[in-house]
Amino acid sequence: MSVAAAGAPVLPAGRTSIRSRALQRIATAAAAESADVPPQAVQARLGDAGGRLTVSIATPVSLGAGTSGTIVERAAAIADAVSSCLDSLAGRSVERVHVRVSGLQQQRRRVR
Amino acid sequence: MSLERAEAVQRRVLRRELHSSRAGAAITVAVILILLLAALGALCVLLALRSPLVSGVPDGLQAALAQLAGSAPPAPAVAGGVVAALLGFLLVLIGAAPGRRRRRALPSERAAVVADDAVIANALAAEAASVAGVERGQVRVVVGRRRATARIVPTSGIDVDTDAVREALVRNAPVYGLARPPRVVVADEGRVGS
Repeated sequence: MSVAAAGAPVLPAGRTSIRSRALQRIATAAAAESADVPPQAVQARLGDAGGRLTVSIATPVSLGAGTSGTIVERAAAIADAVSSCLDSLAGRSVERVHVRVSGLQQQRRRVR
Repeated sequence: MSLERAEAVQRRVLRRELHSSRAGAAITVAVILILLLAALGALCVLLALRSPLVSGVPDGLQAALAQLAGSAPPAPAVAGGVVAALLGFLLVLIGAAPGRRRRRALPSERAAVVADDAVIANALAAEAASVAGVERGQVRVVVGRRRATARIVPTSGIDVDTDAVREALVRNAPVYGLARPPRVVVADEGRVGS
């Protein structure tokens, strides 16, 4: 074992890789949370454009108490959530997000 | 063993390792020549004895030429000629070609060190993958005689630091016996997961 220089934390050797399945789940979860729908209702596809990450999302959005904004605004918020989640969680910079609103849902009832 | 002698042995060993042997071709040619000369000798003896086995053979060069003149050469002779020409061409190629193997001598003070190009390609690819932060399978390295080329498929959404990769490979190039700095090419299309 080598002795670490004082103060500087030494990373163990090795590499972290994130499979596309995990990235896809991150995108799905972020979109579902932003659209306020269950993740099963969301379809996310990842692709590549010239080395940059592209995402296309198909999701319903929920309407009802506690939601605001037009559907276009909601879609923009979903795109932003997906992009920032992939960046902050997986370190992937996202080139573009397509959001297709596939339907409207009543807001989920929260059971306490 | 004196130092010069050791160095001479080392040079000789390296040469033998880096170039393919011509012994097979040389032995084949020698065997064929022995058979042909033996056949010629046997023919001479039979002719001198006026054996009935060679009764069809014309007497003397002039008679043989006269027999050949005016008629198309027989098919077996043509086929034999073509085969002989091809064989000769092949032998010239074998003799003139450098016969280098896909391996190279690595600089070393103490011993004659030889590495296969595939081994060097592997080492370069591992280095490139670790510097670029991509999976080993996303790097493909081809080692030519003088220069290596590394092709990297980036992970979508993560930039590959091409300069850092190039610098790392260039630093190692002399160790791997490459005369020119390796090329680094990053593919246009990336791969989604890594």
